[in-house]
Amino acid sequence: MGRTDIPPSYGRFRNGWGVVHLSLLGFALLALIIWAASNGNGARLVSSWWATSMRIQSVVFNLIPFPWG
Amino acid sequence: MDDGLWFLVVGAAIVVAAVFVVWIILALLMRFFSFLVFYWVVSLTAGALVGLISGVVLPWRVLRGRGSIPFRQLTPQDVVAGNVILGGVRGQSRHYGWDLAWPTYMPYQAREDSKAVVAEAKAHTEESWATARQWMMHGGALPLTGTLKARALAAGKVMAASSPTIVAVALVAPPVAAYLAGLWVSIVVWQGIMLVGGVVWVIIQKVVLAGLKTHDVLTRRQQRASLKCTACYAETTLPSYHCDRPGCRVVHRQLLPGPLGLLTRVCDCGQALPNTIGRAAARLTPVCPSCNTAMAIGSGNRQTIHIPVIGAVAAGKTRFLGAAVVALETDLAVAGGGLEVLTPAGEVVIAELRRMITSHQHTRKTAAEITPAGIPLLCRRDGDEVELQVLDAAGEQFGTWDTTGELRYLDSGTAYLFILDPLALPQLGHEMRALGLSGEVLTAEGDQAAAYGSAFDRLRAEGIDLRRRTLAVVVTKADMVAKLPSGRDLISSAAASDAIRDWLIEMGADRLVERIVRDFPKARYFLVDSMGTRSGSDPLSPLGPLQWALQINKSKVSAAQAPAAKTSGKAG
Repeated sequence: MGRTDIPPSYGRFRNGWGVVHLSLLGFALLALIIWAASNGNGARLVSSWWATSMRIQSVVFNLIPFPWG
Repeated sequence: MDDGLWFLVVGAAIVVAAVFVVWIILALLMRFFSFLVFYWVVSLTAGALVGLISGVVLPWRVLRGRGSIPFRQLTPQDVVAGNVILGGVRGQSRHYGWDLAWPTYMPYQAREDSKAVVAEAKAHTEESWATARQWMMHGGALPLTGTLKARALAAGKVMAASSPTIVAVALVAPPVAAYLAGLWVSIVVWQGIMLVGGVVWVIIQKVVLAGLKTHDVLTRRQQRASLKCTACYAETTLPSYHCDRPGCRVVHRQLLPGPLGLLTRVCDCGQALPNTIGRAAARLTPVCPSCNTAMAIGSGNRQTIHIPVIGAVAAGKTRFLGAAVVALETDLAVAGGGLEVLTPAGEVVIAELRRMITSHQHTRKTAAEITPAGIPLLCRRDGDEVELQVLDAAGEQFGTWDTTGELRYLDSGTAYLFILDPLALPQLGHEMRALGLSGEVLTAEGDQAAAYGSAFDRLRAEGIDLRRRTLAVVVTKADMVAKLPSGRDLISSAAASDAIRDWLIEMGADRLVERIVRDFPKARYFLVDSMGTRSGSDPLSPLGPLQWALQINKSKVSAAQAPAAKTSGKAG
């Protein structure tokens, strides 16, 4: 970086970007949590994701049955 | 059964058995693959989430200097070298280039920070992938160079040599790929925030910048603010300023809102400086942009009026100036204002003049060999202030065009004071001798018309339109004029401008007056007594010409008791 006696405003801007980035992600996470908490959306999403994963696994599992059935 | 049939049955049995074996193997493989698919779904999700979080942490690390790749920190030296701000400096200080100060973060350093984050993300991607490849290819690294065919052959050999590698690839590659995808999504979001935020900020910055700059320029224009150098006499509306950190020698040539700051700028030494002339003037030492002479604090942010005084040797220039300054000082003090000498050297000169005026001593001859430095006087009254710069050149400097050519302040003057000694006129000279008064006072040496010509004929020859400028003819030594028969009537009539002009014609200065009328149709004539102690309202007070100069320059500060202008019906 070379010089370390940089103006304080640089540090404020740099922190600012991080804070804005984190805030946006935080807002996104909060929105997700609120959405998930209402009407059981979250539980439905997780169970749907889990069920889909299991279904895919099951389809692949049973794609070629053993000769004896 | 013959042999042929036997072989057929055995062959069919072998084929059926082989088919069954292959079937069973494929079924087993598919069961294994189904678990792998489930693992992929879970690991992709987890990898992407970890990547997203890493993408938040990475820029923080980079901008704190903890990244693996050093990024470019812009410095004031880069600004001066022209590597930061596109386009050069505009305006009066363009020849100096950019000042030695830090650029604003937006957009200059922000661009470098953005590049640094992308470079760090690329380096992290390569590093992550290299680590993953080591895990996957413990039997040998996949060749990345050579022709496609050679690389395919070599890759085949590597894969054949290490069969567990295929499983490793299936287990490691998907989560690593998801992790990197999440990382880049986060980095792109960060870049987007920086871009949008940066654009909005730059727009706000531009609007504020334009507003501040316009306000500063308009306010100063309304105040008729300018810096007039006391050494080289150059005039500028954009003074330079010294950084005020002790030991720092940096001079800032353009302390205006711009790429180096809005309200403040940061000098190379780290000192925060006000970034408008109006605010800088209250704190920093101004510097003449032409000759780098340091001026008094506040100069450049108020109206500055040159008082150029012209006249022959011993015409009474210094005495008049001293008496006028003392009268102005008294007048402003009475009105609740004040007069302050702004330089130590000027304080010495004014103190000496004040002492001589108040003790009624004769004034010393002004040194002929020195080009005069302006003496800045700050006049305050009713909350307004104006800087008068008194310029007292020796009479010898009005001997020739060459010597007056050194007095560059004459070129930019608007209101000149021509000091005329009436006692050197033939008529009054006779009367002085007749009354035995010749020894009481020095009279002007040489041709006073020549002194006038050396100043104004040169200006006219250089193409300066004198008709746009103004002149006050200050007829000095009224105390002696009062003792002479030809002057008594003039004194008792509390002389008006036209009366003084006519009297001068009568006393034999007709050719000089004719030249003055031709050059300056609106010239004013004053008769002053610089020896006595007269009140500011006295028609013979030396305050009159100063008040006239202030009025001509549209100064907000004026002398309260100055004698009212007296003119007759005739133009003059």
